[in-house]
Amino acid sequence: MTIAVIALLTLLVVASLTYPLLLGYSVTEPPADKVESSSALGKAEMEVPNADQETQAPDLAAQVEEEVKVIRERRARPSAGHNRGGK
Amino acid sequence: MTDVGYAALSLALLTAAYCALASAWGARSRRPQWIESAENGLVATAGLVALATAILLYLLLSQDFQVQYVYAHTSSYQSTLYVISALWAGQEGSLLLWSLLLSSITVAVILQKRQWPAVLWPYMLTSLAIIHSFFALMLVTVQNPFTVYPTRPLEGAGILPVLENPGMVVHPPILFLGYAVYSVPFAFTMATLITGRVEASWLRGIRRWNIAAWLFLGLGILVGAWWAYVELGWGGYWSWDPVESASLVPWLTGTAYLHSLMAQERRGMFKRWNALLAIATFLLCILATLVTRGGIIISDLHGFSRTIQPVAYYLLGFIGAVTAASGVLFYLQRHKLNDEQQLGQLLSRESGLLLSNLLLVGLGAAIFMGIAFPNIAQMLWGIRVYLGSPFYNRVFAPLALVIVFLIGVCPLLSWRKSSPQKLLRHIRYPAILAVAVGSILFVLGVRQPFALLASMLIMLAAASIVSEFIRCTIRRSRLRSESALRALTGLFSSNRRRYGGLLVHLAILLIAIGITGSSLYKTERVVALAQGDVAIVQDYILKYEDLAVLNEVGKQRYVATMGVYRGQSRIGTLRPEKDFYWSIQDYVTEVSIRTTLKEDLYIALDWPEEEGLATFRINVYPLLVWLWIGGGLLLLGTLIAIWPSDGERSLKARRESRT
Repeated sequence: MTIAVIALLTLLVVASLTYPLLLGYSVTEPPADKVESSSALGKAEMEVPNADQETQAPDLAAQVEEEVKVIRERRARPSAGHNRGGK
Repeated sequence: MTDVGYAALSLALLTAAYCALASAWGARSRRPQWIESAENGLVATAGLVALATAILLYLLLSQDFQVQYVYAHTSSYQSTLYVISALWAGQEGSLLLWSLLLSSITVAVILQKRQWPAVLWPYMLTSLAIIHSFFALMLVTVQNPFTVYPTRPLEGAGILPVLENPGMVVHPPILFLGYAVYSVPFAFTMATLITGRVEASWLRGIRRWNIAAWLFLGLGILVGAWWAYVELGWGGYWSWDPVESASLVPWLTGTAYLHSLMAQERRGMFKRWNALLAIATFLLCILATLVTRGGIIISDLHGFSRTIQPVAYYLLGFIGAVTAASGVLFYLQRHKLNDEQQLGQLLSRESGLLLSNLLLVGLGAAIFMGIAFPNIAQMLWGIRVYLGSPFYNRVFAPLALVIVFLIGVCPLLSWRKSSPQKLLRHIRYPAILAVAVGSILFVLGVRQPFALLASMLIMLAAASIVSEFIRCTIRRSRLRSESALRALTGLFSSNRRRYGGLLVHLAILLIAIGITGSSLYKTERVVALAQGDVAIVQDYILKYEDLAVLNEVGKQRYVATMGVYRGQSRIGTLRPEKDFYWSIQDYVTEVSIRTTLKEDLYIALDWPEEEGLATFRINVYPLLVWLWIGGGLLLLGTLIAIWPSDGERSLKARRESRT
């Protein structure tokens, strides 16, 4: 019984190792060089939005402050159209 | 059954060795089928190791005392939980657990193979397969958990009573998981050294594994400290024992690696340094296993073997071989791992990271020397030296203070160049707060310069982190017209990595508060009391009320009842106990602790009763609970930092829908 179990285990392992070699590489797997190029493509995709924020928070805070300032200034300044309407 | 277990381990050894060769050959000859064969082989190895573990677990649960490992670590008195945890109580079992965790991690790495660069992938497999082969080799040759006696003993020896604690169930697996996960950054680094190629975008994949390893190792160390605190009864959580110090060293270098990897990802800097740290951290994990299991270092706290074990030679050989191999690769690829940018301004994030790296590695090196020095002294001069807490405290405390300062300042620095004015603007209120805290503590009677300095620096760092949260929350709230709570949660979801990281920094500061308060201002008393007597420790009045003697299976328990009063009012009851175990013919302490946010009242029954008097060890540890709260926050912050962002999740979903 023990020998049969060990033989079965060995058979399973050998089968799992050899079937890719016997079948060539599987159809679901692209060859290594293709994978590399797709990984290079992936590199561009991996540029996740906000990914860099953690390293720039102090700058980001200043940037936000600047933006708020600009919006306030814009609100405070009467637009040309508004002036015309007033005339 | 034992034959099947041993055969599974032997097959795992052969398969892993084949995988190491097959994947390297597949990469050299550009034949992907060999790489695929190696992937299958590593999954099969994982299955074989899992089978061997399942068999050992079955043998433990069925109490087959003919198996030497089962005899040595279980008895019929043991509860099921501790029979299961006996799986990692012994040398063979813990190496099997190491191997099982490594296998599971390898399968996880294979399942997400598309995230790894194709050029590195086969060499990552080779590196992982070599580690697998090494562990399988030890299990098959010198640490076989399936060795049997010629006849079956009637009863097992059982594990040491001190190991019958929830800490035993949790501490070793978490620690080993940390060690095992560090094999992934190691394999990645070895692959970059073999190919001489590393790109910043590739580091995103390794970052998550690195953080996971760091978290598991850190939590493992903390759980170990908690276990020592509640179980061992010597009144502390850290004793600078070589075994626990050995696990701290890779955590320190891992922390350094975690930070300097950011500089490589962001600016292409510290490439060689990072490669060195990744390899060193993994080797230090193996070294910690050697210290724990090899019997080469004298450990007073942990009851591991004190004679050199055969496994020590294997572990030393592996460390030597990996060091030599990585040294050669380093030399060969030295020109390909040049930094893309140079360190420019002194006041920049890069400089801060470099300084913190040097401090962390320096700290690790000092502790490592502390572990190794007694052996070196004995080898060279034939003298026995023991470096205890005074040495470590002298080395650790000043460097830790500078690190605390950097925790507060570093996240406020910008890359490339930071303006001193901006830094001062951000830090002025935290600095004022820190001075205020120092002054208040001084007025309240704190006179130790170290305590004052530590409190001020911790406050400075904590306040700068909290003010960063407040500042960003207010800005976000104003900009988007959101409530403060919504803006705060929005901050976390917009940039989990940064804000999770800041929470982790806060957690480290809480841990620092716990360590500083409990070590500098602890009160320790040993008192002998008759029943009805009272002891006064600080503002606690402790009344020894009763001693119950309880006979249970395998042990006799002596349970003292201690009424805790403050003034006239009773605020609690503590029941420290001393248990006599028949199996070891010795006593084991069970301490009783009253925990509040302010302090821990800790009572251990040192000696039940002699001539009508019972001896108690009574300690008061200010602020100790913050150590454990910090541990909880560390877990939370790391999980936030490691969780995939919305962008990454949608990218993954797009990829899955494409495939």
